[in-house]
Amino acid sequence: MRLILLLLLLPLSAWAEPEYTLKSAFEAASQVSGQGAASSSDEAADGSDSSSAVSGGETDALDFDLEELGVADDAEQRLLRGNFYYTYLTGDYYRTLYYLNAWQALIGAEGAPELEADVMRAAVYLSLGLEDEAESIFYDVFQRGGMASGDAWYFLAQRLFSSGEYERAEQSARNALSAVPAVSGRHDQELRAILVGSISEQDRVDEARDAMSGLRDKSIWAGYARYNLILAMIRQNYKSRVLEATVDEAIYYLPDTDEGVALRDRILLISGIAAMEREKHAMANRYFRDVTLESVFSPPALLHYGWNLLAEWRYEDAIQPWRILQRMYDEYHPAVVESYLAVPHTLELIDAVNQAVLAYERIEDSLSVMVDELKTVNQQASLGEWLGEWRNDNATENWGWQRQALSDLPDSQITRFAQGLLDDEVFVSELAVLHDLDRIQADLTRAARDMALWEQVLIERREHLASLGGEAVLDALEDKQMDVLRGILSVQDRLLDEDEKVFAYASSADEARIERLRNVVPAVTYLQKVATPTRELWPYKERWRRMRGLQLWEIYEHQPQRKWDTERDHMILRSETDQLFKQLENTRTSLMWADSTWRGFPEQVTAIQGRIVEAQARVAELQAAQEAHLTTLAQTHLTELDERLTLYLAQTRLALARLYDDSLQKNFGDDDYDGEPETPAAKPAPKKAEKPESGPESEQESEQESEQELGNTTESADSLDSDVNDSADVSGSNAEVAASEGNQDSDAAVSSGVGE
Amino acid sequence: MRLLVLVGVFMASLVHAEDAAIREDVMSVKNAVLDLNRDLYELERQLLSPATTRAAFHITLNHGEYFEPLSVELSVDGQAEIQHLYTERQVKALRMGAVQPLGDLNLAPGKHDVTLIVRGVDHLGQGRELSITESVTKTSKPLITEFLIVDYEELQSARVELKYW
Repeated sequence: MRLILLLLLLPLSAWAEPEYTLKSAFEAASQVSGQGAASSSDEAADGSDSSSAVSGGETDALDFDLEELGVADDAEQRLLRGNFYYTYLTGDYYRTLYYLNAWQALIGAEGAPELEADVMRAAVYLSLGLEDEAESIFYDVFQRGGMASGDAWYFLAQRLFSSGEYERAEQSARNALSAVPAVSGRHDQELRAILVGSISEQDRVDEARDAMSGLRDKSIWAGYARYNLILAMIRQNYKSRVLEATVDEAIYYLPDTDEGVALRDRILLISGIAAMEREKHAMANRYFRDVTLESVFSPPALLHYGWNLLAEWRYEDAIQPWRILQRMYDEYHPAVVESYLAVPHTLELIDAVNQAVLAYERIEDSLSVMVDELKTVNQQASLGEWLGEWRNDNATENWGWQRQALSDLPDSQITRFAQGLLDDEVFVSELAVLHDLDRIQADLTRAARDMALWEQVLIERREHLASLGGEAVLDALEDKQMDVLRGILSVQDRLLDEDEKVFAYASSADEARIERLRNVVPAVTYLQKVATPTRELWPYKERWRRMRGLQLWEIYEHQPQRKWDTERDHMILRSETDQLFKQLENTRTSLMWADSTWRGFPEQVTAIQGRIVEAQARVAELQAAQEAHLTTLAQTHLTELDERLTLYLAQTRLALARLYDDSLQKNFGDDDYDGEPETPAAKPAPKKAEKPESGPESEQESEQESEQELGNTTESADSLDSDVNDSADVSGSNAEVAASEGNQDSDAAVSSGVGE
Repeated sequence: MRLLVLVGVFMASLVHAEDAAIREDVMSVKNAVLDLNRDLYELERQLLSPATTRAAFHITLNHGEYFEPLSVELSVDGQAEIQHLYTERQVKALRMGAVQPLGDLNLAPGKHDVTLIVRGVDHLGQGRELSITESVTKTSKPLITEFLIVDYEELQSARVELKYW
């Protein structure tokens, strides 16, 4: 019995030293909080794990450990990998890198030769414009070797191809095709198109043709692959028959969708230009004729169609596409501008002088207006507003690979003039840099606001915890617990003493009954003395004695049961009090760890706020520099456009002067010249070519002036003779320049969107 | 003349060097911002969802031939906790096998009734609603749950399943 009670008392000896337990727990808390809130907060409420957290002394990169929860390794990896791909594909780049780190930490810890996370990290960095980091990872990946899924290599190949890293894109595409697990079916065709495109960009035409074998003919990706192949063939001056067959094949198999139609037009445009340069005009005509009027490639195609017909001496036919071009498209479109001088020049070639003069006059008006407008908008302030509007329009776009077409600039007069600029890859990439900086600045502003809010949250948490008065409440509860403990100890003492009593475990009623029975016989004896009994009393006395014996026997009979019940009740009481003690201890631990909901965080928040302010200043500086750079680029472009339009205007005016001069010369040469020059058009000669007029007041004066004018005109015609010849040359060369510029424009347009 | 050419070349190299310097600065800032945001995200998780009360919910779409999710609503113990509308890009990501981290909640240890309602369209374009309610037990360890939208070939339909650890 004593042994049992001693065993029961063993836990109570621990209760006697609560200070020791709390002290050690506080020490543990201070050590954990010193190591960072990451581990402290995680282990906070779990008192049993706090010691292990302290002894571990490391902050795990993973916030949750699925292994401890019995999650299979593949499930853990699958979730993290899936989370990473989800955030990658939906453009949540912060979380992307977070999950990637977690995933990489997991697979790195297992020591598996897993490259997938590295491959994807390179893809993410490349997407975010961090080429240097991506390049170092890329080399590291190839040096180490190892396994990565086909999809990971596919994503990397996609990003490398977009960045113009064709050699590496080819390597990645080949790795994707040979990887285990293989690339998923939905990416297979695009991957093969990337492979063909990468090889084509390196001008290895035969290899690219071999790589075409894995593509399905009717897939849009086959169309893109053939398009890149055709470009490579053109660059390599490949065999004409093969090139033409490839073009025919490409446009035959393209699907009848918007994307298919646009790609078809694109292929026809580059093929037509290539055929034109090879002087295969009939074939070029066929290609240009097949271009629809529904895509962005229609204007350059119409422009080149006209030039091609002109090269075939089909002057009247050449005018038609240019007229369609000018009628259907914006007058500020680069192709339309290039076609302005082409029409009257061609009219001149077919001796339609009146038509040519009318066309030149109309063009002169248009160009004059355009040049004036251009000079008005080509100002620092206007360009700043223009960029500002664009920045506001793109405020909702993300940065990095998920941003949309940033070259959709606001619908304004500057944009109309800057259409050519938007095809410039340098300008668009600089725009993208400014956009990224804007988004980064916005993110930093949001982060600064979040930090301020979190700071407030931490203050409120601390104040709330202080207002609860947990320490005082716990102290009071611990006092009560000590009282209970003392009570239990006294009960235990009583239990120990009970065994030594005669009436152990007897109830008070039993004891009272025994006492009463014990008093019965003396009472009877006393009654015998004070009065003479009428009968013999000893049987009564004996009966009461027996009754007492019986009562005692009953008490002893029930003693084991009562003892058992008492000990059981005592055990239950001990169990309950144990639980109460545990709960109190947990509450104490919780209170102690409650500090971890704010302790350590203010310092972290302050540190991050400092970093945010520093980053904001750097980004603001870069934004200003980038904005100035872009404004300069736009200004340079508009100035060049201004110069070109001014040149066209000068050529137009020179052509008009030449035509008037030719007409005058012709009239002078006529025998029946009657003194009234026959103007080629109803409209008088353009004012720009005229000298200051003085209105005739009488017929005589008028005749004199007329003679004077004719003399002046003759002089001006003499003086302009050389200029007119130059003008004719310039006009002719202008046509060539315009054609070549048109080629460049269309080439730029063609090459800018390869594979998009 | 040579002097002019030399000056021109010098100016061009200066401009090029300036561009390269800006590029490097931009990359450096991007790196710094990425590091900063990673730390921010970790701090946010530690601050808002301590591991002892964290319950993480994920959604996956298996094939998705018979069901395309448009919105999802998660309730815990009858209280709506998370609502989400899907974009086309997110659905595409799910179809590609990605796992959507629907969100983290703070749950006390004990049993909780978790209800997920996914609204969307089936393969015929008809509106469909999939739902599941299950009781999960949260311990002092983080609770990780995964709702799987799986195709049910026999009925040409889809159903939601729940796994949790």
